[in-house]
Amino acid sequence: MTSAWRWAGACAIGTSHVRANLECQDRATCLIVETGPGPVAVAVVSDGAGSARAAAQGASIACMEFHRRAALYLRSGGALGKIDDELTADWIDLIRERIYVAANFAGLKPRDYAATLVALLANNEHCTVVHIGDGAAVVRKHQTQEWSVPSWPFHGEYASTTRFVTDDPVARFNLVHLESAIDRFAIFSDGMENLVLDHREKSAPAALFERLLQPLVIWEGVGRNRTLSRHLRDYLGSEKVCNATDDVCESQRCLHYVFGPAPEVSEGPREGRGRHNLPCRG
Amino acid sequence: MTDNYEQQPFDAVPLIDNPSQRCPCLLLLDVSGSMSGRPIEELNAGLVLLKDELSADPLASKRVQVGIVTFGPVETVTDFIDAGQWNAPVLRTKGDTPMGAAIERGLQMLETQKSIYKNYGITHYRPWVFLITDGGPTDAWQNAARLVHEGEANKKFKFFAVGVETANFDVLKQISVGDPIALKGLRFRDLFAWLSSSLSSVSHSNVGEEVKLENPVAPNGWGSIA
Repeated sequence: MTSAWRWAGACAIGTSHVRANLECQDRATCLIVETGPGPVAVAVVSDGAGSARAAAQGASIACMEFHRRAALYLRSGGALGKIDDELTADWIDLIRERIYVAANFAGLKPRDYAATLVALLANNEHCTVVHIGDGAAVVRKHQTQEWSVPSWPFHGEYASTTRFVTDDPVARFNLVHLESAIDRFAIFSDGMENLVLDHREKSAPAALFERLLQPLVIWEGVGRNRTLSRHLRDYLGSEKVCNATDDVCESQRCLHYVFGPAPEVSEGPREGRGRHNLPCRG
Repeated sequence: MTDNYEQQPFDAVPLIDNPSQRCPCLLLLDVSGSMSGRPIEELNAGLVLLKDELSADPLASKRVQVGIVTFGPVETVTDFIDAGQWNAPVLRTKGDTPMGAAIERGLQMLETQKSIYKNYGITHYRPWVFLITDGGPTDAWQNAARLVHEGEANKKFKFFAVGVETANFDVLKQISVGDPIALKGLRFRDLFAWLSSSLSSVSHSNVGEEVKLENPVAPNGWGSIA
């Protein structure tokens, strides 16, 4: 059996951004990288800081550059388990360099591009998470119902404070390797945190994520499920979700969720396996 | 199974009901004998206004928490409670002005509340501490001043001192890091309208957002620099 991944993802813009006529500052991408041992899912979510002038561009650069570096590494035979602090720091430095160039060109400061980063790379055997700031990835241990949060979202002492890729003098990141294989994961920005994470227990509720993943699990295709992504986009902006939060839908929300490995790659509909950037919806 | 979802496939996802992030506001209020008469009446009317305005804002009513310590003698009138559930107390004037002990009690209350937030996984904004007096401390206030300066330096809270015109502004300047504000006349209602509006703005703010507050010492504001 050849393993593959199937996924859905969407972003929804918050009402505070609509009121302030701001664009959505969350960005997310998902890429399935073909490698010798099998496909690797690379999912990235970046949340631009609300107060930063070019936050959306910062989040875009963070997603795109991380993907570029991860794909180059994996296609050149790099193993997930060999991603170490030094290599991660190099990738983040390259994101920062791209931001410095963009800021210089636009006459802005790098901090105007402040954005968080949650990245997850997974194949059949290994899972690696790189994390700066808030938002999170949750993973399920292969063929169990054990869900965990490899790197808990970082919040400063006060609400709405966190770490960013652009922090001086260096961006502080978490690099986590999971020893056991995973078969499902979800990755999301901080607008989703209060909806899907149990902050008191610091856990990812299995019942919630099992139910969230179910529509994807019963889908027989491979790659991105566009129909489900549209449903997810509608759901994230729905009254039900707004009513479930205390912030009356102030926050923008971005959620990817991925199931894998899928059945035989040659079977079922294939809706696309390239990189997908997700638009926001008001 | 195909991807023709007839209904919203996520409707049954059991979302989490996490507690809201909080914005604690501690009021340290002078109820010494000199506040009797119109000053205490205006202060009480201001508290009612604060309650009404915070309750009218759905987000602020969930996120802002009010705590009240009065002095003359020191008494915890309201331990921190959500603005939406809070009822404005009717304060009555009593004795002297143990301002130092009131500040120490209030800041201790704030630390306890922050521990509660931490235990329950609740994030919070930087607390606001609002001292309102018409006199000067009748007890030792130096330790309280030290705690205020340390707290401000460590960004543990923002401290505001407001004095009615008879207040001892020389001491208030030593207690507060920022300039104390002299209340114009007995405009307590304008003060609390400003406080409500400012807290609402903070409770609506986003990541790293700098909240621009209306200047209370502007010509049309409720105060002036003492």
